[in-house]
Amino acid sequence: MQFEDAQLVYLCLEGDTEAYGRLVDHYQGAVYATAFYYVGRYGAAEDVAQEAFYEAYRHLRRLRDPSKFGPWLKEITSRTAANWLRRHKKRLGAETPLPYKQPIPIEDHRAGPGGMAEREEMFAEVHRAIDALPERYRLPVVLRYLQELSYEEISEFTGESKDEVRGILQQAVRKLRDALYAEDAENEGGSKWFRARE
Amino acid sequence: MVSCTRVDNALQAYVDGELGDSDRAIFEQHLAECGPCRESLRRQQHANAALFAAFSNDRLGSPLRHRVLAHLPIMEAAPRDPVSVVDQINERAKNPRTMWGRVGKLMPAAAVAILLFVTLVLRYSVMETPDVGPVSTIGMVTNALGTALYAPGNGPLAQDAELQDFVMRGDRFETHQGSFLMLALTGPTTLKIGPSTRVLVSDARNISLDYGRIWLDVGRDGRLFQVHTPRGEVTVFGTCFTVSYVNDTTTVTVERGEVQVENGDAFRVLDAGQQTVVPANGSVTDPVDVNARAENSWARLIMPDPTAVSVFNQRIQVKSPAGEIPSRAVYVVDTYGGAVSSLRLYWQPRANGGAAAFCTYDLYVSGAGGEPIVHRKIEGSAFAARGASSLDVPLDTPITGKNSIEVRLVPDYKTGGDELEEVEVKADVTMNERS
Repeated sequence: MQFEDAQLVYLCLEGDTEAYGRLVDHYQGAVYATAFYYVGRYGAAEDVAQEAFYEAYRHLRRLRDPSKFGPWLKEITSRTAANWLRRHKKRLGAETPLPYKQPIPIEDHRAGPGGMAEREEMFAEVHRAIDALPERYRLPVVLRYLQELSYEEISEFTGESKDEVRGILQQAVRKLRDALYAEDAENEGGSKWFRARE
Repeated sequence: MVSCTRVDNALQAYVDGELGDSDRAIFEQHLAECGPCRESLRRQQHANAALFAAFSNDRLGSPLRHRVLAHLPIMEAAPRDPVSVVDQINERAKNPRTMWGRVGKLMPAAAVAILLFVTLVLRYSVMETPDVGPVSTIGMVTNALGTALYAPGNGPLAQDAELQDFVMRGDRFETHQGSFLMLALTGPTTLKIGPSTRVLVSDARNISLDYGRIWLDVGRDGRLFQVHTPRGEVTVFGTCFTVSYVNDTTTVTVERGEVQVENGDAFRVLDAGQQTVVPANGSVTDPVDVNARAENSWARLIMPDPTAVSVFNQRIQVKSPAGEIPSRAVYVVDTYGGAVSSLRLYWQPRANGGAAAFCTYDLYVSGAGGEPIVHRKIEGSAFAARGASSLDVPLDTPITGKNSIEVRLVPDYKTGGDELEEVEVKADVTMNERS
């Protein structure tokens, strides 16, 4: 893909906007997930993702190595998100972050208010566990679980090798697994985690 | 049998379906025999499922492509573009220094992307190499297909040009039928050499086209860019264009920017999307509108090898001396239909009154529509009087009936000598009602 990225970048530089459309198609999940990682709680992830693609196109000539379009785009997305947070600092200070949207499957409705509360608690736990991860682990986790990116896609975007991505996700999920099971143990060995898909 | 630790380290890759076939077989064999690892896998799968579920309602709703493409900005210029030159000119236009300013107001050409002044001289001659620093490596082959030969200096064209070959000053390249070459030159400039073509790369800013066709996207590092072919003389203001010399006829097609094609004293100015030819009889034809992208589509098929580009960027482009000569500019003088009898050039006098010679300049005057009016050569010695900072250039025939004129000054490096700094241009205009 990196070879193809470079070709698409060259086409963009020659004014081919359709080529940029293909880059958007390929990286939209990663850019959106990165934006979500920073500003998801303020409901601004799509706006920031769109702005990041805008900024990347505007500055495309600054990209020295077109085969590194992914990592370059990641930096631009992070900067765009940071700028967004700075711009909206005042407003955000007076605002409570949105809760993460929670899936409410039919069986939970059937389970009644008790099932709903249990599910809510589970999501809070997941996000607490993610927030407790080391910084380096968090973005790959969001890329993987929010947009279901493959290891290769994550590697193209973060610039880390596929083996590094594999190591990071292994460590991250193990930590999450241990954290979640530790909480379960505190809850008298309950298995609420399992019910998410069972 | 593999250890439990090794299996534990591969759990997530297994769950994500990212294990290779052989690793997976070993992994599954271990699981079949190890209860604790099966329990670890079960927990890992549940953690995995919970993570997917936790994000499932926050996923990207609809594709971004249409929203992004509907609001694409204008791509900014190259990063090392000496934008300050344009800013300076704008500043001068806003603050004319003399009463002349009211009439002969200097303006930058409106929003034209002419930060670069590319000169394309379609006259076959090997020029002296302008100084681009001590580095003799000036580029790299970034793609090669078919039979493409190169020869250093005047040697025989016998060696294959291959990917990632260094390009040195004075190298010649030749492609055979169905072959092509792509070079990255410091600037950075992209040169695509079409099939059945021969070029001489005198240096990173001087190229001679013996025959065939080339496509150029010239880096805006402030240095003059020249191309030579066996016929005519062409001056190009712009960054992306093709030149071909086939059947004794030169053709120039501009994709971006503005182009002036010159043959002797005759010249024509082309905008992006226009084409002109210099046929065997030597005169420059009027520009015609063409679909430049379609005309140059052959060049679009030639793509660089990313690794070669990366090596070029790291090893060669970084050595490029950046912006040691300011970009050319177009001076637009509003004349309001008055008669222009003389032009006056201003420049920054040398602080120490230094004795080094100035280079010779070509001065081109054209109408607002690009129609040629006057071409004059000004010898470097004309600027050389001690402490001088201005020069009058009287016109043999006054220019009349124009609401504005465009003036371009192109230094001729062949003559050697320094360039003028902080050039301004004014016109002596007599309004009709006063005469």
